[in-house]
Amino acid sequence: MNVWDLMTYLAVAVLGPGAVIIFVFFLRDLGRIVKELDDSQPGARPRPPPPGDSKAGSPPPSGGDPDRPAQV
Amino acid sequence: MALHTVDVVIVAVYLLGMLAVGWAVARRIRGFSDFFVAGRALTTPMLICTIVSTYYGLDVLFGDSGDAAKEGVVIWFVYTNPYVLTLLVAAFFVASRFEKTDFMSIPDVLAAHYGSTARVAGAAASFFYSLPIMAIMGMAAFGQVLFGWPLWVGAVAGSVLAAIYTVLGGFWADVLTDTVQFVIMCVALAVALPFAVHAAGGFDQVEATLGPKFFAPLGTAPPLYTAAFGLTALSVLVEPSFYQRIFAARDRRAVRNAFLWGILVWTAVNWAVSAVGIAGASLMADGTLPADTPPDQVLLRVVLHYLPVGLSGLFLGGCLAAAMSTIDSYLLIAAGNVVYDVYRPLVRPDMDDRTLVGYTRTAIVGSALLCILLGLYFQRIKEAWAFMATILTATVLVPMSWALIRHKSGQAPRPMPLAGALSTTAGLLTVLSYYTVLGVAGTRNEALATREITVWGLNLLNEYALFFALPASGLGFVVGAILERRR
Repeated sequence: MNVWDLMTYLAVAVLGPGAVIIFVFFLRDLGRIVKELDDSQPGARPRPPPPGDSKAGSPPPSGGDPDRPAQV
Repeated sequence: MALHTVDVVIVAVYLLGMLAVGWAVARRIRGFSDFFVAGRALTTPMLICTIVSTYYGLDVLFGDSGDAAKEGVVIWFVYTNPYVLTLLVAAFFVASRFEKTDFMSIPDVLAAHYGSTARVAGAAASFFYSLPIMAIMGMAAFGQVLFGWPLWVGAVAGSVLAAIYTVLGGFWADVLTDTVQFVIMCVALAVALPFAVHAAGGFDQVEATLGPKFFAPLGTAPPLYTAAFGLTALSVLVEPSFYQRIFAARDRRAVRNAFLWGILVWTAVNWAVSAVGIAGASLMADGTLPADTPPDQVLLRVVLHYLPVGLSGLFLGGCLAAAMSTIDSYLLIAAGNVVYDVYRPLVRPDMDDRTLVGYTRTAIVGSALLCILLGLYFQRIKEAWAFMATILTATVLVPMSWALIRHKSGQAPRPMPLAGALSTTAGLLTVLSYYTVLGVAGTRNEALATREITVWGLNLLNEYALFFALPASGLGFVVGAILERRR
């Protein structure tokens, strides 16, 4: 086996099983986000937002100087 | 090329699935933040999928494999790996600068630091860079090679499909479809790569057929040309799709990790397409494939020749996925440049969310139409893209770099309007002047597919424009900053 074969095996490992693993984690996160969105709908029981989620769905700045977006 | 019914069904199912995603997401759009930056809720796996699949399209699949079929492993070592260095800078430096801000685009950042002139110049450069002309024409070529369609049919079909689900679901639709496209594209390449290498007899046989020059890491191009090409990697630091995803990230750690994992995937994709291209060159040399196969069709012909039914349909789906993941994201960015970055602040600063979303949807359709017209007009798409990428880098890189260095979360930056105006203008005018001079007074270099001119003993190519434009932009910035200090 030469270096080009090794690079090929590594590429196949990343693009095959690697991509599938990333997709599985994507589905996990998507499920959580959908649950958060559903819980935040009117009529749903209120839940505290998870850490670091304070900006989800925040509207863009309106009014004021449009060339200087507000900073948190 | 004749396709099996199974392959056609696989492709059709994929396309219908993309439309279904757009329809499903549309009803969850609550405002412009959801529509343009997915409510700033994206996590690491989501970012990996959308960043990788957006940035890589048919130009990589077909273009890089075609280049590798002509030049060998140098494509991977010299023409794609410099991007890894700038992606590392993006991961560790750029990603962390904009946490806890409400920026949604590069022009937003420019406006905060330099005012309206820089905003408009940056939006214009970003708009023309973002128009996914190459991806749409890639779809056109795809339709022509596979189904014998006229070019305009493939161009319209590809752009209409991507525009529909983007208009409906905005950035969330882009992210979800990008993820499906990411998986299909990666798995298709992972399947195609060993088939192609095996069909060529392995790398030992390929080297025996093509000779050792195909496996020379540095190749044979002039060093200055190679350096100029490496300079294009700086465009990563002003890549509009990256910034949109940075602003859409849940937190800076998510986007940093996404870039790091993305580098691994990009490196693997680069090797996969290069290796298939090299295998294709070997198959052409030994007569298995027609010797006159156009370089950008090598990958497609190798795969369709050797992959069994079903897997070839998967690969075709991967090619479509690569194109559409690029088209949808850049149509949204281009539309945002027009409506959010220019129209809203200059004409209707009090525009409400609902109107903003509606106008952006209209601009997506307009951008798609413009892409089709420009794509069918330009003969050499790759050169048109290179010109627009140079325009973007020359206009925006210097002021954005200084903004990244200066930016501190929670603090309003001291405006530098003259520095921003002079910097963007100097970069833009230098590129336009350089290309005009070479276009009018230069000659065609067919070997390097560019134009050249000899001035004072120096042989200058189109690709050297940044060597002049970046210093000009830097000089404009310094002059503007000095004049502002003296006021």
